[in-house]
Amino acid sequence: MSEKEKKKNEEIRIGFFQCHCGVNIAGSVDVKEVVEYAKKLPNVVVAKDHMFLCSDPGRNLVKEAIKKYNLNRVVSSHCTPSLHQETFRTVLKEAGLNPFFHENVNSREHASWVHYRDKKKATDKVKVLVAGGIERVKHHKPIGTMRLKVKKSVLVIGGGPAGIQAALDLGKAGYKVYLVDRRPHLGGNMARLGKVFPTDDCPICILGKKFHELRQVKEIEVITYAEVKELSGYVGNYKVKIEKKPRYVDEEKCIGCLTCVSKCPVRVKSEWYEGMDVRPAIYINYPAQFPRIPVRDPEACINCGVCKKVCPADAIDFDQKPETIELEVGAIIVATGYEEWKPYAVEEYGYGKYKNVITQLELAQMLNPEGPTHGKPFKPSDARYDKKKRKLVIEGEPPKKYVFIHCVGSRDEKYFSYCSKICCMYSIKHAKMILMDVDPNAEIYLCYMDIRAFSKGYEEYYKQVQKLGARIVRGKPAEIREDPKTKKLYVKVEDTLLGKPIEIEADLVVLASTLRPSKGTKELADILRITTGEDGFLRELHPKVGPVDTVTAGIFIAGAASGPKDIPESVAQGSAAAARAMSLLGKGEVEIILNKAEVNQELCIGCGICETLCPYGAIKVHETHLGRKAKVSEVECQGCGACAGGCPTGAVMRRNYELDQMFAQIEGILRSAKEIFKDEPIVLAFACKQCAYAASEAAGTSRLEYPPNVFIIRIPCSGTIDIAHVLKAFKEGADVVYVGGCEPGSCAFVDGNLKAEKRIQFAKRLLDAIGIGGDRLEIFWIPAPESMKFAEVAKMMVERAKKLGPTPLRKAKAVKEVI
Amino acid sequence: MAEKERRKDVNTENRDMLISIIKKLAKKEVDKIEIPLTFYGFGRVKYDANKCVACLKCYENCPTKAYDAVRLFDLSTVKNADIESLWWKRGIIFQLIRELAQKDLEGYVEVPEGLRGYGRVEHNEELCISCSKCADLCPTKALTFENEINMSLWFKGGKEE
Repeated sequence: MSEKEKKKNEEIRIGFFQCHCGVNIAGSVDVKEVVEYAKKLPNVVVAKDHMFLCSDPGRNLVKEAIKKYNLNRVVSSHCTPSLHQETFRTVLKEAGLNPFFHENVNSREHASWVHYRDKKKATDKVKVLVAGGIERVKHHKPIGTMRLKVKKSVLVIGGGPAGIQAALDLGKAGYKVYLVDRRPHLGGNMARLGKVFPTDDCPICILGKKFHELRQVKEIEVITYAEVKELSGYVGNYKVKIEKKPRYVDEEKCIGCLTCVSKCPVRVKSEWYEGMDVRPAIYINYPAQFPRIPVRDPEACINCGVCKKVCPADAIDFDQKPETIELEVGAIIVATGYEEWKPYAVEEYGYGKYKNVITQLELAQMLNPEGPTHGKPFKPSDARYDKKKRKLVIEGEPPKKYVFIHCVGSRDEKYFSYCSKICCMYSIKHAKMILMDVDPNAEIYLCYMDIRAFSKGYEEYYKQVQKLGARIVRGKPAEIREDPKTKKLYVKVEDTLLGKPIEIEADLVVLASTLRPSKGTKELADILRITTGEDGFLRELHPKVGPVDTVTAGIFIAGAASGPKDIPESVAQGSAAAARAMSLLGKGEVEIILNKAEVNQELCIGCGICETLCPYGAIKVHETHLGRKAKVSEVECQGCGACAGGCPTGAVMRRNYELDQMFAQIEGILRSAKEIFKDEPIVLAFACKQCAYAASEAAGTSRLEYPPNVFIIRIPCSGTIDIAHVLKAFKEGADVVYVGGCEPGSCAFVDGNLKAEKRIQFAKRLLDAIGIGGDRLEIFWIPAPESMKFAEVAKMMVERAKKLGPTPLRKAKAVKEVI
Repeated sequence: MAEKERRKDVNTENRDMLISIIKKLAKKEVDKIEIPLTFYGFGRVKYDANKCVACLKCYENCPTKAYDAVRLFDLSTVKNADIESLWWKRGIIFQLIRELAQKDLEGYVEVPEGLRGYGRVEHNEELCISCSKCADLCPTKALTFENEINMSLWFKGGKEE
């Protein structure tokens, strides 16, 4: 140690605080022993414990100790950083220290909750983690903040119930709102339904009222038939490019008389009515639509020009071109909703093969009073398009016997493992609608796996339909067969309550098919730099405490875009997202913490590798008077650290995850682990805080046990991992090292996980080549909810460490010590 | 094959013609000719693999695509490197590799596609038009531009008419 370093070290005064968390930690960790251990570590001036460190007295204890002992570093050992790191950073701030002079040791989720059967080992593990934290905090540096002016305007994407609600809440609060919809009108899927549960009111009436309000609030600008194409900028100052498709009708001039629609001679299948009805080439989708302006379909149009002739306002313009609109907004709300999966793949049900097998959304169209048959269900085998009358004609008896099949595609490992949540309720609603409004004598069978009627008033709704005479069969139909002559269907199902197979005759079989994210969700997510989950829906920042937030600051989600939701929930989320946007923009400026990338100008050689690694274009090489140097745009940088992990010279650093800080933590943990765990295997894990670390937290919450020899270091993204970290870990005595990242496609920072994979792949080959062995290093995809996988991987890697034995390095050292 | 595909738009016709004219005019075979400084179009590039950090700037920016990216990391560069003279983190990594190594540092480690920072490039002199762009861009001075023409390449094989 040089003289200078020694002096610097002496100046560091660390306070250590261990929380009991009631019995949550103290029940399976010897808190006093940890405190005694910490006291002996260099630079620790004071070590104390407290029953509830996060409580007022607990926080005061820390604050007073900072003053009394003149501390300049604090390590607190309690629950996971995602819960209380912020709390203690604030304590430091209040005591006059930079908040980043704090380090959080996770002694609850990583020790007391997962090793509760072995108090000795749990205590040992906490000691090791504390040693790592104390070593690390010595190298912490202050991190500043910056203030940014924000625009008080919001872009809402998607004009369904969630988007409309968000726009109204924001508009009424005085924010400028741009409400954009891909369709030529607002309303979303809601506008396609006849009735909506649980109150069975008419969606058009509800929407009509909302449309009226939208017209009243002058801050809201509705842009329909338009899609988001590009996003640049950063929180509070986004620039969005929107492409407005040509409608071929001048929106300013059109008076909504619909003469053109009635005179158009063309008829093609209507997408809105799932191909069951026809529409003209210039059309509106539903009579109450907003805005009430027709759209011309240039592919169907025969260019006869009748519409032009009859239009009293001279609004029709065949020469319209796509138009690009540029908006500047402070925040974005994504409410792009869902679409129904067409279950062609479920061959046993014959959808697409048997005409009279339809989906629930198609039945909803039949039951819609504005639909093709004005609310009367029919057998598609009876429907025929009459060229003379230019409309749909139904010949034959209306259906009498219905079979509804729940969970088609959803909750099925073959297709989609998730529950589509609202299908039970809309199937029940359709049964009720048929029995009440169409035919009280209809025979309706509902074949279900489990009925999920969970919200307020839903159970009563379900009871009602049972009273009305719907027959509920618990069992998943195995097969549907059609009589080719009569077109009657026969549904084979084992009634699991009766325990015997039955066959039900049906005129119409209706499948409650899976709800999928609406088309283009993934593309939009990529444009907006937000993430989707394994199910394809947009991913919320936190399922419990961040349900409408995303990984990108200033971008929120609402409604079914993040998973199937009913209307009440979508509306609530619309309001929630609006409130989040308001709390962000309300003050007119935001504070950004600069825990982001930084470039050491002396070390930077301007090679531009960082440029190729940054998914946000936030780091760029510029010509300076010192030569080519990389520069970080601190507002655009999201702090993933992918640049730092790939920088060949070490010039680029992710603040708070700098190389010396990481090395110190690795050293601290492994030195202490070698001393305490002696000849037991030592496994070091680097876990991305979005996924693998979150899974480790979940493993803690679920008390999933795994061996205590696994020590976890939290990193902002698996892309932060540096080959140097891995090599250092082996050098310091780790037997096995692994990295936990997000599943490909769901990285919070676009593809940090894939960057990590490449580095690990290379490091594995390198370790093979130098005789350490590449199988001592792995990378795993451990999504946040998969706590089981986290525990299994931990077990597996400890097993591997046992099998491989200590590294040659550790073995050599051990021999030396013995001699 | 991929390299061929990458180079399909590269056109050095004029330069080839120039070289063939020089060859025809030549009264004797010359080995090397020194050329004036900042006289671009002639001259040669020298590559020092020990300095290279495989950022691939040359590979990406070469107008005639004269560079191949070689996805092999030569362990002997670790062995032979003067740690003190290396860039900070690279020095740390090389030092760690040396300390961890259980055998002699020899041979190559395959670098995954898309991983920069490890590996090297290969310069195809017959494709080079000596524009010196690579040497200008090279952040570690692994590529340097020398003001001399390697005539021998023209006369011995290399570019044929």
